[in-house]
Amino acid sequence: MNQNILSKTKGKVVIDNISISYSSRNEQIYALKDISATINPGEFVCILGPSGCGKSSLLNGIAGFVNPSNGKISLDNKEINKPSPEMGMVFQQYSLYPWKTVKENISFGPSINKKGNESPEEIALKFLDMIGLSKYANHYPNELSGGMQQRVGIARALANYPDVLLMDEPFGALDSQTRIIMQENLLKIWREFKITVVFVTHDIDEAVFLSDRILLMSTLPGKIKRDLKIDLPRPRDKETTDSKRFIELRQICHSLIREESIKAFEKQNHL
Amino acid sequence: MTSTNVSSKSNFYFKSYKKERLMLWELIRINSKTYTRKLISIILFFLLWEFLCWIDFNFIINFVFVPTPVEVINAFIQFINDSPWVHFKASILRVIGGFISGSILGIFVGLLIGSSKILEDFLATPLELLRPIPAVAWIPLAILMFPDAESGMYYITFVGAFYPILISTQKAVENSLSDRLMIRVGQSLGANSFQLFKDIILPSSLPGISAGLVIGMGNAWFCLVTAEIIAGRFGIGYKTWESYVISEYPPIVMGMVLIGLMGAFSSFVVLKITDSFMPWRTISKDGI
Repeated sequence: MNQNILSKTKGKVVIDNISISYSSRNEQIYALKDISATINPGEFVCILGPSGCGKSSLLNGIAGFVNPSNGKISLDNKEINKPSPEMGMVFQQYSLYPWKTVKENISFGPSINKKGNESPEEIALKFLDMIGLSKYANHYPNELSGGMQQRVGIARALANYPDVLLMDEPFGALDSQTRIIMQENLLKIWREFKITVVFVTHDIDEAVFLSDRILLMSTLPGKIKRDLKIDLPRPRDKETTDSKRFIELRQICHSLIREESIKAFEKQNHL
Repeated sequence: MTSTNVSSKSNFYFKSYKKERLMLWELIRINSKTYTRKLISIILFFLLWEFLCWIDFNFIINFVFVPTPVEVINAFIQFINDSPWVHFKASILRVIGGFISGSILGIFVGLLIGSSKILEDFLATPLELLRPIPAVAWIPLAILMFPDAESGMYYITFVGAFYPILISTQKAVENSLSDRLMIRVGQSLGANSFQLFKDIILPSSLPGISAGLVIGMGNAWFCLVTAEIIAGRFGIGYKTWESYVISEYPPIVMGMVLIGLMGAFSSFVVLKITDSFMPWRTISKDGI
């Protein structure tokens, strides 16, 4: 799919010693402190951590919604300080525009960033075909189930041909059956596009199943506790989750996360 | 208005998890129920009115001098036989003129105040000071300020329509702007401020603007009697006022009923027109 636009050399995200702080009731609270990481082009990286560890803040920083208080984040050596169509974002909540049809939701991005010679309409139809929802092109989002809406959300983010796809717990609201199918589909899309994916989740199985690398986060302030390589063979399917290595890796994440969750739980009690 | 939502044509072949497919006969059945209920409510209303007049009800509220529905109908027949069109035309033109100018200005200024802090600081205070002034209080100034009585009357219906439209638009825009997710989605797709405004803020504000337009239309009728006190020879409001001055009671009630009917009808038209701009909404009341 459009290999000239999507080359493997683009989509490198460098997080250089950043901190993100919020002032809340005259207090400076660090959501993240001194984080550094490099995400290589075409890599699938999960940011895993218990709730409240600042993983969404990190993603919002990469997306350009929040500017770090110090340090910098760059995409292909360009500093990020505002949202840009080079990075597609899939949100946790269903975030389709209710007043646009499914097709219009997807073509909205391409219609404002004319790129290549496909028309926005053609792009929308192509992506609808890819996510298997061509039949619903002219439906409004509230006529679709949650899983379908999230597929459209992914298509909408991809329709700009971004270099990086940012995903903020995109499958959190789905039932477990749908979630597994969505994960397999996401891997298929990722393979096809050779795109960098940064995926935030608190679900250990999800993170192990999807990633090349997991950035495990600690809480308050958020730091990267462990940079864990996931050496499971690809392509992955439901057999992967039964393999011995999968269970080992899950075990490792589990014990690390548990420590953090307990810490976070206790700290929140003392705040 | 009722609820039975029959939203889009597409629902006919698409069955969502929350909506059952509605067959044609089911639609007719559900609708005929609500029509019957509405008809019964109107009949009951007139019966109650007739009854209260008939027993000369007089406890706190005095019905002794209130004309009965039959007397009002007679007054209406007399009015119809006596060149009613000039009155209708005069009133309808004033209301439409006031409503359209009120909508254009109300939506425009509402969008500006709702989306810009600077413009809000400059414009909102004087507008807010003028807002509580009732239409009646504007009569002397309307006479002094406008070249003729007719434009003064347009002005008073305009005032009635303008404020609800202005406030609803402003609040709707502010509400849309508070939806951070919707705006972030637009930014991440690469939309600039103009595109955010046109494709996101404006459509998501439409339900609020629509409510303002419906209320504004009602208010324009509301202010019509007041406006037609200024001068007149023609108009439903003028007719009502004139009947009061000469102590002829049935035409007063007739004028009131006519204004009520035309006001309700025109608000309904505004509602339907604005609804057609928002085909994406599915509204279900009473869990239907």
